[in-house]
Amino acid sequence: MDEFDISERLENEGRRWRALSTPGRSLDASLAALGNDQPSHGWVRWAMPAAAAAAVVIALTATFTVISHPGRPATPPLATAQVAEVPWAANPVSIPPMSSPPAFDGSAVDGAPKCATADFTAGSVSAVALPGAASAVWTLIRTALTYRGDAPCRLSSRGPGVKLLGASGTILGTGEDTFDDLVSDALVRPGQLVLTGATWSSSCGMRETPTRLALTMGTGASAVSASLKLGKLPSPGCLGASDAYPVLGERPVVADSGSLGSLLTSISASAKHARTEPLEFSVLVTNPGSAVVPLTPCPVFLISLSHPTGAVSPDRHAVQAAGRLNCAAAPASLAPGASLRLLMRVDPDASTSGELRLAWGWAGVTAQPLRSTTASIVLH
Amino acid sequence: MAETVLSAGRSSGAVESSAFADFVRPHWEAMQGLAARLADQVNADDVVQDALAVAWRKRAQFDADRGTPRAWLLAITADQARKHRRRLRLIAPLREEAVIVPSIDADLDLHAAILKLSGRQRLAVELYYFIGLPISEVATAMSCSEGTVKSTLSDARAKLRVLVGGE
Repeated sequence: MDEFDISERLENEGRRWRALSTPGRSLDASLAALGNDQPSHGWVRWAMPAAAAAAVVIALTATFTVISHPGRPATPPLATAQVAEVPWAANPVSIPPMSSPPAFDGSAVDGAPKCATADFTAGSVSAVALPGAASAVWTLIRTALTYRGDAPCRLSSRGPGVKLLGASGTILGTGEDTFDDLVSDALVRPGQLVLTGATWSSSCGMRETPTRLALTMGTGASAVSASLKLGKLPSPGCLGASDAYPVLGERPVVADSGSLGSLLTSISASAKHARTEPLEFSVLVTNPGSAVVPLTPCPVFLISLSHPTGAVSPDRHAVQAAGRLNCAAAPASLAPGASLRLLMRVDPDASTSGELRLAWGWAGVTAQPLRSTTASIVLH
Repeated sequence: MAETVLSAGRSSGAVESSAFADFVRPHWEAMQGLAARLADQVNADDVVQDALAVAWRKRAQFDADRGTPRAWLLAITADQARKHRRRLRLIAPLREEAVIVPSIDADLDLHAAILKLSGRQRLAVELYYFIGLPISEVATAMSCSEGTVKSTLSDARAKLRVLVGGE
């Protein structure tokens, strides 16, 4: 094959790709999301075509158990043992339409003073141990910081700094890592929560280690610390042992306390599934704020199975589904610090195989898509 | 001219955001296309959203003398796609265990081969062949000379020839 052939094939493939590519989210919707000071997580795009959900049959299970948190900062376990199961109920619904986006107004953020670390207090924390490649163990910790200031402030585009501290205050792992992809300054209003966290890996074992997650949210020398005393954490000597897996700050999200969007969520799913079998997974939902989050009216959630990098299908979503929570088995609200484990089920498309991204999130009751939680799985 | 409005200061947030929208709108489809090509397709919307936010934040830095708005916006999109891929590598460990499904036709082979190019080579291929930019704008988007773009494309084609042709 000569270079001319390759060039011709590239030109043909480029033309074919341009002809087949479908328009994504509109610029106006993206500008509106920008004005809301929160990053998109891709729900808008697939929330728009409500008819797309009609062909998808999902079965969902919602089982709830309250994990008590004796005090704050809360110290939930890494393990997921405290889960009670109840019979599942299928409540498929059409993907809800989006309401009109608010007007874009970037000047609101520009006019606010920078946030100060001292104005934030740490709320409860959720921690999940994730199986990784080979012997690596990943730990994902999410926390919520409450803004106690009197006036709106601007969270810098540098995002929060994240570091792990041992019992003696020494920095564990690779030290402080800033999440520099906040991309636009976020406006934080009094009482709002900033949800963020850190992920890190270890490849040489675990041991019990009292640890604090310290987040520097803005100006000021002292960091906001979310004290953790987890059952198991990677050995300090292993933290950040590999350059490929440093401590990583998570993209922060600003949400109103007491709203569905303020709930911390994390998926637990097996790495591999048979494509002909229902895919069962669970979502741990924690209320990190100081306000009760009502679950009435009965909220709707969204599930998607999507093709990751390298997929060439014009429709990147193998499965898109929406379902209403099994509210008959659910409490009417989620108290501050409380957690629920939602057992979920979705039927994969039998024709889909390979690596997929499983995503779960609450259906937005406003124009702003709420944060989703994801996991990578393999269907075979 | 949109670029003139962008650098004219802030008389009103609403007016400025309207001018920004006018500035971006002609190139929005190209930004989405590049994001879909370079990023995890699942996250293409996130990438282009982030690119939009960066463009808004850096709007005062756009210099019409140094390149077209399209090249500037696509450069930002490419940078955000790169950061997004880095993030995904770090937070999605299970991806390392992904099953690689053998390609079943020539187009898939070509696509898989493109994914194996170096970052610069792939960006040049995506911008030139898939987004359809002329060499001059590819050069602006990649912050290099037109000659460098041509040599990068030549190297990319040579590598693709080996990867696809099995030579």
